[in-house]
Amino acid sequence: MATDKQSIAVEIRNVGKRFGDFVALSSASLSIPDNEFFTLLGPSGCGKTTLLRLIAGFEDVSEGQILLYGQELEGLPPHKRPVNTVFQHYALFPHMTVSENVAFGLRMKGFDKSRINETVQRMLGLVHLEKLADRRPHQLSGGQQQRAALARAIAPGPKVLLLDEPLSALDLKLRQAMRLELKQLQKDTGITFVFVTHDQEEALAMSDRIAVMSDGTIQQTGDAREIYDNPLNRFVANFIGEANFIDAELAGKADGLCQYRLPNGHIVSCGGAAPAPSGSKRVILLRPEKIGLIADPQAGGLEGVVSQAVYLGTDTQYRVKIDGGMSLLVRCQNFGSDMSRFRTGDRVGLRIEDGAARVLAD
Amino acid sequence: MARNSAVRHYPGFLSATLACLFILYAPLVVVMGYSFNASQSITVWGGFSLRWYHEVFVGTESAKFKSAAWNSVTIATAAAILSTSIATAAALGMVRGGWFRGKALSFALLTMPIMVPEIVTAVATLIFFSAIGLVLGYGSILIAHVVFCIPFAFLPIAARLQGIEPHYEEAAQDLYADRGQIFRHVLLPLMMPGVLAGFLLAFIISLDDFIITNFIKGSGVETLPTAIFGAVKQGIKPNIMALSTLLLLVSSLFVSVSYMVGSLGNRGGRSRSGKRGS
Repeated sequence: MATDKQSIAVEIRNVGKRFGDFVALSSASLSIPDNEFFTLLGPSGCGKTTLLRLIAGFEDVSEGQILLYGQELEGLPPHKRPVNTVFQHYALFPHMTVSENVAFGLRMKGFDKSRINETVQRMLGLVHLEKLADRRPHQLSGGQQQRAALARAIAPGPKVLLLDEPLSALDLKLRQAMRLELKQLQKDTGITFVFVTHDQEEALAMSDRIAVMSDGTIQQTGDAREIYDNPLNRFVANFIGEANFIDAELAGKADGLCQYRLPNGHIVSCGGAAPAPSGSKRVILLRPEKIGLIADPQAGGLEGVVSQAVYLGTDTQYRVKIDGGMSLLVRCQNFGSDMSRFRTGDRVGLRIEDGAARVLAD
Repeated sequence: MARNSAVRHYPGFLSATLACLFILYAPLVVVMGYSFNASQSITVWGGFSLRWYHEVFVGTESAKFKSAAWNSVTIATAAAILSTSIATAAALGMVRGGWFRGKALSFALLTMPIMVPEIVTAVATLIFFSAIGLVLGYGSILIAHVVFCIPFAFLPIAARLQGIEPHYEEAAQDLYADRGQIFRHVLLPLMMPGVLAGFLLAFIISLDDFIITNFIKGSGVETLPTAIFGAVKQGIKPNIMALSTLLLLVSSLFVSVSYMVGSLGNRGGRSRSGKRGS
């Protein structure tokens, strides 16, 4: 987390971007501290890549300011900004070898030969490509191209590294391995990473902090736990992980938690409550894995009938039709024994711990 | 591709192919064959000989042919270099210059000369040159050749440039290259196959141009095609066939090189563009 001592690497102040009538980004504000792995997460078309291109300088902001370590970037062309980009399709220069690619930024900065050679060797070592230094990009596998693009972007020693969905072209196994490598690389180099992805798992696995975006707006910024456990709105809750949304009415307060009445009359204690007058209607979020299923329903508890059971290896996902109309998604871990298994048609009780449900702000 | 829709299964495919090939190439084969004829006749075979090739280089007309060949080669080289440079700049402006008013019109104007009947261009050029008082000769031929070679050089260069994804330039810019460096280190090397193809095409178009050259060459300056035409007017001798065969050889060489450069570049470009995600 940012402290007063830490300097801010990237500061986005009310930045907007329009392409003709289309608003790609509207009044986005962020501050990304030095040495952080920061992720812009959102579905395609949410404005995350636009924001990255604004930082890199490929597009001009329509309004607002972008500051890099306190320096205003407006008017600086991309080749004068101390940031480098790892492109989605790598954009390795096809007519150059891997080491020539890595050396390119250093050459353009006018470093002398011995320094270039030394840095290129160090970068190739960092991404384990020493043996492929003389290959052309098309002779490399996808993962190797990815690493070459990383080395090329890190070599000139940027203050901030921008990564535009760099893992999306890789297959699943490689992607998972590269996540760890990227995270490690960020720690080793101490460079601030701004990472763009539409993959929530990727974001949760790597990021120090995440900004969730949709429709050109930043919906919420926070670390993985905050975003997952305490989403501000329905979009964030739905985009990250699975969610049950229930319309509920504020019934009162107890032990610092708000009591919300579900449509069937049942009362649930919710955390994350915004102050609200009694009787006000809100949407509450209930994560499927925070609901427990029990074989013998307690009196006064929620009850329902299993309408669907899907075995998923580590978990089983149930859809439970609650008495009184609504239907909830429930996810239970599969333990060693069979005792926690239910079948379609079984009558079950639902256990919701106090505070497991969250009230959404809108 | 469906097997039975392949063109070679159509009835008459083989005979039509052979007929076309015969009509296209039989005259050339005759010219090439009779250039090795030992006899003076252009219709009766008198045995194999290289005497007409000898005649081209040391015979009575050799001085005329040599100066014509020199003119042709120097004009073609200079015209190809100049028109390729202009065409490269034009292609950069058209393909990478963003939108500007009259872009479609510019494109049409750039490429239309290819479709204008050459005789019209020839007459117009002659009238224009005499109107501005340009002395006809080597210079006027060179200027005309540069001009009519531009669209031929432009097309392959523009096509190549269109196939280069803009993200290479963005990457270069991101890595601290200014406009000049981007062009020199990234764009030009990637465009090279197109530029070479354009250069070779322009060279060949210039080398074998007859109609425009004949109109504006003035007196005393000949290129190979006009010299050959002049010689043929006095009767066809086998040395003309030898000369034509040599010209054909040079042309085929250039066209083959141009083709190979083009296909090499394309193949590289395709595999180079890397893996496309989703």
